[in-house]
Amino acid sequence: MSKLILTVDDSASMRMLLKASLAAQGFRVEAADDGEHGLERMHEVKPDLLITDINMPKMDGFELIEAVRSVPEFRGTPILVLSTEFSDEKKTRAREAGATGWITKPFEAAKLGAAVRRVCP
Amino acid sequence: MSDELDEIQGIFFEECAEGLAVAEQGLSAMAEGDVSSETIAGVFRAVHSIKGGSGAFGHAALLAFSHRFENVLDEVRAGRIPASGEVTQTMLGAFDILSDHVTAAQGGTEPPADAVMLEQLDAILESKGAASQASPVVAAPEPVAELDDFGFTPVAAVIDDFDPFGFEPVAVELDDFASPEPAEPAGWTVRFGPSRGALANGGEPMLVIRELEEMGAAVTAVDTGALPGLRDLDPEDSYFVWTLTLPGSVAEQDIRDCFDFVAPDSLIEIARAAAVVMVVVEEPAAEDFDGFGVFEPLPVSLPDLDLAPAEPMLTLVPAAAAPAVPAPVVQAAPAKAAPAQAEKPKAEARQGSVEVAQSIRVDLSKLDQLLNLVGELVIRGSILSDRLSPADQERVELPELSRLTRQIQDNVMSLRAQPIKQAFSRVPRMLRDLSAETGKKVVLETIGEMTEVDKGVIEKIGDPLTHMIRNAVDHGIESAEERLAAGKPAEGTIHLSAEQKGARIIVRVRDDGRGINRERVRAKAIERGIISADAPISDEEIDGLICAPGFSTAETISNISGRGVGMDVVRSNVEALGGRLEINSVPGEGTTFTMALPLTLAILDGMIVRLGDQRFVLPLANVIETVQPEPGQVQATSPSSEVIELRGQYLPVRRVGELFGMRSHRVPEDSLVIIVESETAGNVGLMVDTIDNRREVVIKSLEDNLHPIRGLGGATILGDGSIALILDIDALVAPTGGSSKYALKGMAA
Repeated sequence: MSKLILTVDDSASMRMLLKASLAAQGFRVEAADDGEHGLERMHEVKPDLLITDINMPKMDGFELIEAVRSVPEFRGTPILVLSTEFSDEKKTRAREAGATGWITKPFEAAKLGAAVRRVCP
Repeated sequence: MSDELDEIQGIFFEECAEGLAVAEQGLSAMAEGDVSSETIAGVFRAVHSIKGGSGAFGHAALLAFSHRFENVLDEVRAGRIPASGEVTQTMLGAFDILSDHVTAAQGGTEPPADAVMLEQLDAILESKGAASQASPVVAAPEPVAELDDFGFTPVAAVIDDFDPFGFEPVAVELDDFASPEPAEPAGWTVRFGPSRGALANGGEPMLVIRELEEMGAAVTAVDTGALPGLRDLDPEDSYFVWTLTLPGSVAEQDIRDCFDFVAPDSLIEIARAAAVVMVVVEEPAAEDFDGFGVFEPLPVSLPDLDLAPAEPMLTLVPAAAAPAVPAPVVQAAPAKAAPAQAEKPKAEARQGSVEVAQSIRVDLSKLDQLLNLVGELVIRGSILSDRLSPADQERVELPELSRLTRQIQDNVMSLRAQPIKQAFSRVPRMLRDLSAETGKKVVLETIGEMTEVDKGVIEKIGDPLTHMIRNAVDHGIESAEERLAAGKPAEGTIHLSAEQKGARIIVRVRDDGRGINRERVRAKAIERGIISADAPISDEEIDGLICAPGFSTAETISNISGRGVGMDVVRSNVEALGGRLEINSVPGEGTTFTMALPLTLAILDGMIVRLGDQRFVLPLANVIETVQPEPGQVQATSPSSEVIELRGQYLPVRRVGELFGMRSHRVPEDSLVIIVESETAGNVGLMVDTIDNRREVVIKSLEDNLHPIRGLGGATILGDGSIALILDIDALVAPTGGSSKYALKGMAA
């Protein structure tokens, strides 16, 4: 069974782009459109990897990561943060929340795949 | 994939449009003094999203501009730049350019000239002063300018271009590196000691080992010296140091790439076997070469490892720590002091109140199909209830079925309903521009912007609304001097309101200007040959003339109203929606444009009435009451007009049969009078033979096949399969003359 990735992004085009890029590389992809929904989907699909945007309505990416990490079952699940820029402050914040790594938008499909395989072979 | 990408790109542009609307709304609110953090965050988010997608789809110019715009917004959001009027005005200007950029990206046309605006944005950033050193955004070179073929933005960072062959301080010493193509590169030796905490947050050092092995690496040694006794062992900690060898043909970059997601304070040594050892201290603050990287874990005490290599060592301390040339400093991999004391800036990242509703996108035609099917379902339900006795209806649970059908119908209707706010949102901005152009000060008051209207209606009232408001500012509102002289406040006011009234949405644009100059309108209409010089004409009819085709009272064509779109086009647009446009003007006090628009497009709550053997449907929304007149209650006031006396009031009565010229129709003695409410003539009594029942009907257009017929809004199929005509009350009872056709165009399913 190929690895299952949950992507959380409020932008439909970004979700579709992620899905298209990852599916083409053999991953299974589930998606959610905000942090709250993302947390629900985490419990439903129990993915091998979570990729989340930061700036989202309702529950942002940081809060989502904190919420996910507070669930014992997901303590070891790799989490990549996806954002257009990463200031030191943002990285610190993401790291403290419990993210594994980050990917800068825009991403190139191959490099996204490489990044994903690096935490989720 | 390219089709798929096109589709995704299409969605991206839809999101851009939404984002622009949100940004405009937010910026307008800011211009009016609402500089709450929610509002600013909403604008930031909108621009941020546009930027994010534009990069993904390779729209370099849009990406570059939105990035610079976002930088300013970010500073404003963080409170480092005050949201002053001046700054907001610049951002409104930037918004315009951003819109143009989106249009250009979408149309594949030349991007707009934005150099001047970029300078203004930069000026705002610079005005922030020296205190801003902390933010790299300001001084950083534009990383977005260099899109490569993949639409991927290389992130500028010193470490990015690191290349051992071009790295001069080393090259002078090292023969191997100085020769461009070493014939037999020496093999690599890699030492890898994950830091404590490397296993936290989903980190997995074994993946790195495996990836290296795929490249031909072999593990030659594992140092387990740091492994504590079982009692002290933390299963979530890492204690090993691996030594691996790799063939010399493997590119160093490929090896380094394997460590992208390794906790940065880990021990990582990569060396040519016979040459030099490089300890690469991954520094998390530097953007990674591939645009991704890993977060160092929170500080923990370093494992007690012997880090001192025997050979000369080069340590790279990348960008943030040493921005210029990496200093050849020997240093043990330090844990970057984590700002544990830093407060978590949660609130900052919270979303603003200017939100775009979360949604899925469905082709409107699919919704329309659904609506049609629901319409059919309603008709079938009617047929069933006609054919079954009440007892049978109960037995087959028809009432329950009807209730469910009704719910489905309401739901489907609501799918198409959107707050009219969407159409109103561009008005404040437009008014500001108009004020600037004309020098007239205008205040906007908006009421009922959450009123829900069919999406099709919202899309189409934008232009009429725009034109009515332009018209109001251009022709209605006087100059400040004129207003003061007339005893009015110097600032004009435009009221924009929406409300639901029965099955119609009433949208009003009211100004407190000079009103319509009827003398001039009349003179112009005569001059244009629209009316004859001696035509008897009421004030209302004169007001209506400004919507006559080819009419324009503007002496000089201004660039505001005189855009080639007259009020006649406004009226035909409104009527094409199945709506009606009315104009009421009081000289010296102002003019009100009223658009009455259909609320829903396909299903109507109707009262089925009978005239002879014909059945008609009266929209229930218009019905106030039904009256069985006593003898003498209906009186003739002239050979052609009758009134009904109702609780001391007299209301005009119309015989529907006569209105439609049904000559063979004989009015029965016990005719009923249905009191209806109309926009055009107030309350009026309609005389019909009997009332059949009350029913939901599906509106079918007549105009696909027939010319518009005054007083008829469409037709429907009743439960028994017969056809009934739907009355358009407003048109039916409207005073004759002056006004035009009032057909419920566009209301058909």
